[in-house]
Amino acid sequence: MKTSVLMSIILAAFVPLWASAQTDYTAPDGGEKPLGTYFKTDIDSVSLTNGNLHVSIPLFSLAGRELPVNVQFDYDSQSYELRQTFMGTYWVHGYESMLWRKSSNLQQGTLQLSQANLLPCPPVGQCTSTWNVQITWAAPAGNRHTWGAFVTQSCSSMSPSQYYPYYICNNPSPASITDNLSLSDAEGYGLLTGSGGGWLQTPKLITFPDGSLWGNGFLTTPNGNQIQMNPNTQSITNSGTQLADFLPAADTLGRPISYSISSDSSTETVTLHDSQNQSQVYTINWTTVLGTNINEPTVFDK
Amino acid sequence: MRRLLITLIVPTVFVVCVATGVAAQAPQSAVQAILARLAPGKTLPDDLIIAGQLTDPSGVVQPFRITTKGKDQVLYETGTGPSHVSTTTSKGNGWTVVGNKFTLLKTYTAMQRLKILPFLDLLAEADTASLQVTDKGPFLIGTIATRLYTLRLPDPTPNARLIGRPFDEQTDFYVDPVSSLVVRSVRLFMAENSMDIRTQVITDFSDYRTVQGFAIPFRIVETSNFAARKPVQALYVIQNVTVNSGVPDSTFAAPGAKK
Repeated sequence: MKTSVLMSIILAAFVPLWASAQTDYTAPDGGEKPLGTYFKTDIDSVSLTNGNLHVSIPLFSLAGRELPVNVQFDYDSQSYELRQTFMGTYWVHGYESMLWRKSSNLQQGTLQLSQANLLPCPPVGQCTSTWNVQITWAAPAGNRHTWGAFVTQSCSSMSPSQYYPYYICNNPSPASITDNLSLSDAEGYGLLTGSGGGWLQTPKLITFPDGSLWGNGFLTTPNGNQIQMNPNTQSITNSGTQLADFLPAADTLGRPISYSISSDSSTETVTLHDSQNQSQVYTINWTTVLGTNINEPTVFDK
Repeated sequence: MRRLLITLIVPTVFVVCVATGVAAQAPQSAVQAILARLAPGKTLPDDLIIAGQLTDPSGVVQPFRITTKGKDQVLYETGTGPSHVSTTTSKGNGWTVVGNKFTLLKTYTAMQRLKILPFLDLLAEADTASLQVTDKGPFLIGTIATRLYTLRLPDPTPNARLIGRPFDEQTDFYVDPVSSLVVRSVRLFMAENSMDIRTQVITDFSDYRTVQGFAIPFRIVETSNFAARKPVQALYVIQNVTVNSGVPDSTFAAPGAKK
């Protein structure tokens, strides 16, 4: 019998697209939005909405066929998260910094699913639920796009679950409430999902206002030019969160962009070849970057 | 040379000689023997209530009470009156109640075992066939020559997990081979809002006393290491232990389900 546990769906509140873990990402909007209001200078801007300071320092731009490879070093002053660990009679709290990160065309950010069951099912019998599906993408450079939809899911019957107060939905249709969505936000960014296996497994594509497509590790322009992410280029914070700040493995002219990271993840090195076929080496030494190893006072409470 | 002899060679020889006593057994048998030492006949209590004083990492001293039933129902309580906080983990679910505020815990948090009583930690699975035991040899903790056993219990239902990440359990137990008492346990706990972030928790047990046959540490020090930050400590001093008093299942029911 094909079953789906409602508890699991509810607990799917925050599921990053690329990271394999369940991680909340709740920092205010960072980066710069096309229609945002900012106080701006050459390399930095301050959001007049939430006070976030955004700094973008260009590292290199490798011209390619239609689609250049751009890599920046970005900072968002409000990009940190409170992390809490349950100890039974108390909690251990600490802050995780994601203030600085490298940024390219392929910086994925995170795609989060959060939804609420508007019509909870009774513990037995046939049931139809309407879900308010909310999906948020923390886009390259830190800004957000949110898509919403109401999805109706029916269950042929309900069974009690050992996990109070949740129940098991038998033969759910659709199998996953995130199957086959086609959504668009007010700024012209779209989200397309496939089907099969639930939110984590289903293919997900993001469409840009200019017609470009980002998904399955590829950024594709309307003309078909592509750059593909190198999954090994992702940075990880000192607390363990994957930042999904990917670099491509090559530009659209086929010139390789090689990458290495030290065993302690403290130093990243990018090597590329310019139009004269001269190699250029860029090194990020994270131990010298303020805010990547913050040690501010830790707070404890219940 | 004399200092070298005293500080390095003597403890090392001592560790090797003493700790080999337990090492003679197969790891699985050794762990079963440790459980038998802590819980007579390897029989866990039906229920258990421990109470005493907790000094939390911020230095606040307050009363605590922990009520357990079986291996997977625990009620943690601290404070009194308006500052009373209760957290329940029950058969894979968990929630915290502060006044009228009810907060659900993530499944992987709710599945935590009670770590301040070793026989209710992963040692409780000593007879479980799928438990993997590794004998990692002698270790010196302070002046105590211990033997380190790593216990790992693979998630029996990894495919059912939400994001495809199994909830495997693993704990290191440092055991005094002379008394077969657990001196220290070490494990990693996932942060409530990020499975990527692991806090290492070192639990040191001392002042063991026997209560109705069960070896109970009356002094427990927990040291938590969150990422690169300075470690923090909490101290439990147990003052009262009640065994098999007939705690009802309703003690561990969510507020809405309580009669």
